[in-house]
Amino acid sequence: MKERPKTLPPTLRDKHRYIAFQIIGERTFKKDEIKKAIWEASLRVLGELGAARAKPWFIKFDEKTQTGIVRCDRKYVEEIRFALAMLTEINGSKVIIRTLGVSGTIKRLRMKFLKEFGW
Amino acid sequence: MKFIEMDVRDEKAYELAKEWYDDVVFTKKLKLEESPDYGKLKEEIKELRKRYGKVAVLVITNKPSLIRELKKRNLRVLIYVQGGNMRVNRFALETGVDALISPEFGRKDNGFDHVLAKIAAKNDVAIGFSLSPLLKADPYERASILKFMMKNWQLVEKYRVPRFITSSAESMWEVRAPRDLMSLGIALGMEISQAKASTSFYPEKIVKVRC
Repeated sequence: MKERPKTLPPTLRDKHRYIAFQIIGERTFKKDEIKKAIWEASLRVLGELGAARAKPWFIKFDEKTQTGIVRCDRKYVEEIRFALAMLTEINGSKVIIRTLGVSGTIKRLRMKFLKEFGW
Repeated sequence: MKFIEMDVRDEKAYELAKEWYDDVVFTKKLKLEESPDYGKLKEEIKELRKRYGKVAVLVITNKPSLIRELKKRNLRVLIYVQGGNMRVNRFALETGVDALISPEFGRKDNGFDHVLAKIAAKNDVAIGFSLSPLLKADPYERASILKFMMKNWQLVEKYRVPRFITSSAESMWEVRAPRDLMSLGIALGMEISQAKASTSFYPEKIVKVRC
C-alpha cells in the first residue's frame, strides 16, 4: 500500500484562492503571532463550522515588510476578508490588517500585489 | 469610480484614510444637551473646513428639537445623526438630515422599521452602517449588532433607501481599507455590486449634492 492517497483529478480538488495582506501595527510582528491571530480570528468570527468550510490556511509571512499570504476556499474569500477586518489587536498591541488582493495562484499574487514589497 | 469614506472622527485616522480613499469626510462630534453657541460653532467649522476640506457634524442628542434647530441654521456642512434613540431616529428622518448613522446603536432591537424606511426613502436620508461599534464589542454583542444590521439592510434594500458603509473611526486603528469595508457589507447580505455602490456611488451622490 502507498503511504499517501493519490492526488485527486482536477475536478475533484479543493478550489483555493490566495489572499495577500499587509499588517499595519504599533510594532512589528513575528510570523507565529500572525499565524495564531489569523486562526483565532477566523474561528471566532466564522465559528468552527464556518472555519471548516472556509478552510483558512496560513501560507507565508514576511517579517521585514509585514506582508503575507493566506489561503482559503474560493467561495469564502469574503468571509475570510471580513474575519481579518474584524481583528483589532494581537497580543495586546493594536493592529490593522489590510487585504491587498486575491488571486488563484501564489505566483500571480506575488506579481500583482506583492511586487512593491520586494517579494 | 471613487471610494469615499464618510465618517472619520480623528485627525490621525483622517490621514491614514486619506491614503486609502479618494475622498474623506471629517466628522466633528457634537454632544448636545441644549442649544449650542452657534457663533462659536460656525467659527470652529470654518477652521475645520479649511483644514480638511469636507466636514460633517455628528449630532448626539436625546432632544429631537435640537436637530431641527441645527438644520435651520444652515451651517453648510453635512449633518449626521447618531441613532439609538427611537424618537431621535424618527425625527432625524422626518427633518431630512443627511444621514442617520447606525440606528441600532446601543439598543436591544434594530431601531428601524418599515415605516421609518419609507420616510427615509421619501426624504432621501441615508442610513450609515458603521464598523467601529463592532470592533469594540465582545463576541456576544458583536453577534447581536450584526443581527440588527442584517435586518436593517433588508429594510434598506426593500425600500431603496440611500445607504453607505463607513468605519466611523474614532482612532487610527479603526480605519479599514475600502475593500475590507465592502466585506462588511457582503457579510450583511449585500451583493458585491451593492457593497461597492455603498462605498462609492451613494457617498459620492451625497457629497456632491449636499457638501
